[in-house]
Amino acid sequence: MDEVSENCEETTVDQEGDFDILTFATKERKSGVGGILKRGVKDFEPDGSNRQNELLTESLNTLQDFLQEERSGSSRQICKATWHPAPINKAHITTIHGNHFHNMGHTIKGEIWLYPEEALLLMERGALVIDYDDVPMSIQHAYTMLIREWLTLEKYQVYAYLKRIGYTVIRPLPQDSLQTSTSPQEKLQGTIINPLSSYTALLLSRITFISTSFSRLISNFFKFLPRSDLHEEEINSIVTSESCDTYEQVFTKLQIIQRYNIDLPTYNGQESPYNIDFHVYKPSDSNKYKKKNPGVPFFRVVVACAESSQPPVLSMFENLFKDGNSSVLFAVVDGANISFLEFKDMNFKNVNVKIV
Amino acid sequence: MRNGKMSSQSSTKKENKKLNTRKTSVTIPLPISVSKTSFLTNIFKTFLANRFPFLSYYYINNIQKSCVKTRGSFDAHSNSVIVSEKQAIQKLWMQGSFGKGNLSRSEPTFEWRNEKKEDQPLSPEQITQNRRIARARRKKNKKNASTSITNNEDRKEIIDVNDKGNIEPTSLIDTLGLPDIASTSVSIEQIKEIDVDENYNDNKDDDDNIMQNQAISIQEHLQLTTEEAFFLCFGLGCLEIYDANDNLMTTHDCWNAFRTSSVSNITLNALQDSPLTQLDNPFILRYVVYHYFRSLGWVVKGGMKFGCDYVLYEKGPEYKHAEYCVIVLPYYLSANNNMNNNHFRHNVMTSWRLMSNLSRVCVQVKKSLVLCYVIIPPSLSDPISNSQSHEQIQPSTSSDNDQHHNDDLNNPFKCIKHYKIKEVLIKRCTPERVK
Repeated sequence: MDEVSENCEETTVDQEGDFDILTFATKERKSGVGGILKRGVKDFEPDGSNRQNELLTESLNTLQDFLQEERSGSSRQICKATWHPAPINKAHITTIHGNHFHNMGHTIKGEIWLYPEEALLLMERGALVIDYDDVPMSIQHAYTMLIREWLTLEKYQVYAYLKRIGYTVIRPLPQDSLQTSTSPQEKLQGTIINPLSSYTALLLSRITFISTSFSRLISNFFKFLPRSDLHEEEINSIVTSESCDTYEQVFTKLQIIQRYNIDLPTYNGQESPYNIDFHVYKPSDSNKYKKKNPGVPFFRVVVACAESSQPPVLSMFENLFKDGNSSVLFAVVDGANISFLEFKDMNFKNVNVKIV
Repeated sequence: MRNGKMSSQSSTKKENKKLNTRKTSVTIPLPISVSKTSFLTNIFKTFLANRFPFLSYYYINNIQKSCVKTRGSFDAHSNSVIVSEKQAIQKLWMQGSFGKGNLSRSEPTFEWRNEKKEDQPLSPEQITQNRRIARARRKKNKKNASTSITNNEDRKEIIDVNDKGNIEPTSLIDTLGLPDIASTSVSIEQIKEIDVDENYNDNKDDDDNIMQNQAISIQEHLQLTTEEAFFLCFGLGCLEIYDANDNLMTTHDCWNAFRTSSVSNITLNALQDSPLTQLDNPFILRYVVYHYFRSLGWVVKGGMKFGCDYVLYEKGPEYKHAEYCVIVLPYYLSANNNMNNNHFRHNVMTSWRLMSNLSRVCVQVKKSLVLCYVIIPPSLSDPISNSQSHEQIQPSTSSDNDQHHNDDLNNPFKCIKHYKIKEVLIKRCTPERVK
């Protein structure tokens, strides 16, 4: 096992999704039906021994048995809903059980409605049965009926993945009802001006005005004197030796390149293909989560399909970095694998660099 | 508790030993000098130059002499500027980490590696070499311990047949008969013998004796990339660049030459216009990013090792590992300009797979990936101003504007300011770990 640590300088961060042929996992099972599958220790490489083959066969059988088990749920725990296809595209809950709905679903006129991704996930968990035309839907039927319009397979995959880890995932609320976390009191504080500081600010501005106009007078005075050609030839570089007092000044003089900070024109004049798909909230905050005022999301997720789309162009970021939000999490779905990339608006002028 | 403190102390000592121990605690960030009285000196100089032009000529010349400019020569074939003078090389490296030694991995350490002094701190190349030898030895020992080979000859074969990096340097010299200059300490005497023999055969004059008695030493020179050289010349005014015919190149000459040489010959044939009229010339785009980060205080070095364009160090490679990997990407404001700039290079943003490759590499080397967009103006006669709205920008078509545009494009003092920068940071995220 020492060889492993020397040869692979990889971090263990992304080893969960490893489906390499050479790695074997031993799986153990808790007693009884409905036990949880546990992952065992990995071997480094196949060594052709009988013991390894036996272990492998046993773990594969365990996996197969586990997957073949019939899933059932008590009828007292199951919720019931009716599916309403386009243009509504939601499931209407008719019988409520359990406490799923404190962070799922929305209420319209006293009735609970679920978005297709929420309904499909509850169904997969065995907590919900959905009727369509008075007939309960099978899982296959539900997949074909619900994954349409806005909800693509990739979006459902990301939704289900994040929910299963424990996050609260909702669609972004319409803008006018979205509340930010700054309370009205904090907003007022920002606008109160300290009277003393305003006086000193005024004084300082008067002083700088006088000094800049004075230096301008002097340089104008020199301009009217006969010039020498020497002066013009010397402008070969932005800064020269001995022309500044400190290195900070040198760097400031060199900063001739500005950052770009107005809206870029939309890509090719068309709508951007990327919009925020989900707002994700931390599982630890689940007690504090309120449906009417969820607060600032922990992640803002955009789902992208690896095969059929390209990474976003700069102008698309303008659409995503809105309302003071400077970071977006892209969930790139490639078949069964989802990888997450965070795109953050960064201003290097705000990053402190130690010069000396 | 005590043990923990001691181990951290010893690890920092180890770190200091590994890093360049010739660094000083006070660093000068750029190879120019600053003076506390520069304000007054400048006024005095301006006053003199205007009132007494002839008298001031000598005075100003004397001041300029004290700020001696380094000499570099531009080599178009390698697209680099070479600095040969030893003191200049030291100054450029120590004050800002500019350039690369042509016989070394990064810092010009050729002479240092070949000095046989006692108590000499190890150069980075020697440290790496020692580490590799130690690792190879450990592997050899493990294999010998675990396998059941008793035959000595077989064991030797295993060692020799091992992959690259496991072969000890002495065997390299034996098998190939060639010294491996970059990673071994070749003695100067060995080289002297080789050189002297060659010269002896060629010159059969009375120069022979002089040749044999002279100590011929190999001088390492410093290679500056065109961006580094242009920054030293245009930004700091401390480098004078000469062309192949030993003529001094002005800043404008350098700007034109570097832009021309940044386009490869293959692309030149495919291009419709000359590289000097390109708004998206590769040198301009790379230089704008280089200048931007240098002006913020970062040490900017090449990022080829990490699959990106530049790597940003806080003080220099010998102090701390780089924090950021930078990719330069063009962004065209005008719809008429080429949206997919094929001759810049293969754009990393064309597929998620490429993007994923790059971000994975950055994670492994513990750096953050930064996409640095260079916003290219539609033309130079319509500059980008931060208060203008963009629906109104149209590329101008009149010939007067074209001339104005071309003149400005040939003047770096006017042209560079029109390019703007936007940075986007990319990080891989695992939601499972973050919650």
